Amino acid sequence: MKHLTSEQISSVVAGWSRDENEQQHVSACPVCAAEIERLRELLTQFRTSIRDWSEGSQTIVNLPRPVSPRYPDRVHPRRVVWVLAAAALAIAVAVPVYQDVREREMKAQADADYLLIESVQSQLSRSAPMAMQPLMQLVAPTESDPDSGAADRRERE
Amino acid sequence: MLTLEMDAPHVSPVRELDDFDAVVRQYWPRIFRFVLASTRDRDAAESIAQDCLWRAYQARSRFRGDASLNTWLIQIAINLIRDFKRCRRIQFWKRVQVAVPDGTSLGACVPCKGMSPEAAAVVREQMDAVWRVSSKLSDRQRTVFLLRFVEDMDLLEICAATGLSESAVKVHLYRAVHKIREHVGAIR
Repeated sequence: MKHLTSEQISSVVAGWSRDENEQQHVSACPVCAAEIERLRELLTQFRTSIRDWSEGSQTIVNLPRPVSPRYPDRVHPRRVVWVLAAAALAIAVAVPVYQDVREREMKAQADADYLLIESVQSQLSRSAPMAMQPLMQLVAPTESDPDSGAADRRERE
Repeated sequence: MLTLEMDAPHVSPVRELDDFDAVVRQYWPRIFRFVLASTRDRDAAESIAQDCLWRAYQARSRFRGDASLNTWLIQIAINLIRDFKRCRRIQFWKRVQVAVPDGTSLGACVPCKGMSPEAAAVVREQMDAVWRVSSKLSDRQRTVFLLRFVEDMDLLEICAATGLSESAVKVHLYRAVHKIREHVGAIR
């Protein structure tokens, strides 16, 4: 007697067999019947074990309402594109503004430096403080005064 | 028989979604069980089952009721499991966290009441072998195997949930059962 093939046995075990010859063979052949019975028992045990494990592993029994999922952490590609576009726009706006502010600060600093240098140079160029300038003009010899050379000579003698 | 069927209150799948709290209470254990058996990770199973119901809630207006609600939810769960496994392939360090029941084996979950110690040991060994073999099946073979023998879904429901043809579902199941017979056949 030719026994059932592996596919035929699987089909019978799964309950999908429509072939009457297969059914007749199972009822007539003790070897195939025993194999099918053994497989059915095994898979029933497997189902029971999985169900027991699942029931023992459940921590959430009554969910009042599905809440926002923790999984998966995937980022939608379209969202990435929007984020990148927003970042590029922010950079495009921020860089010119920053450069403009920086240029203004540098120009103000340069003006301040120029004024300071001018003030220092004007201070150095004076031989006497500003308050004494009128006196200096009175004392200092002028090119138009003809007695100034004679007065100097008298002082040296 | 016909009278009984007509008397039974028949709620269309679309109307069933109106009371989503009841849907969650009814389908959470099934989805969790299927995902747990597929991923073998309790934390991931909880997250995926929750995500599955969340997506179903969001898409409930688009559900036309062509398939049963259970089939539709399982279909969503299968897609989420596929995404999860794809992510896990990248996160290789998480492979060590794959959970086995109670840190031992599926055999520890076998109810052995009324069995002799020898018979119980053989059954546990067989369960461990089935568990090991099922982990080596391809994703599709494992999915079809679990849907048929753990979730008791029929051929058309499995086709609808997986998107496979009838012949493809049969082939995947035959191969899965064949591998289990090969590996478990030695343990008697």
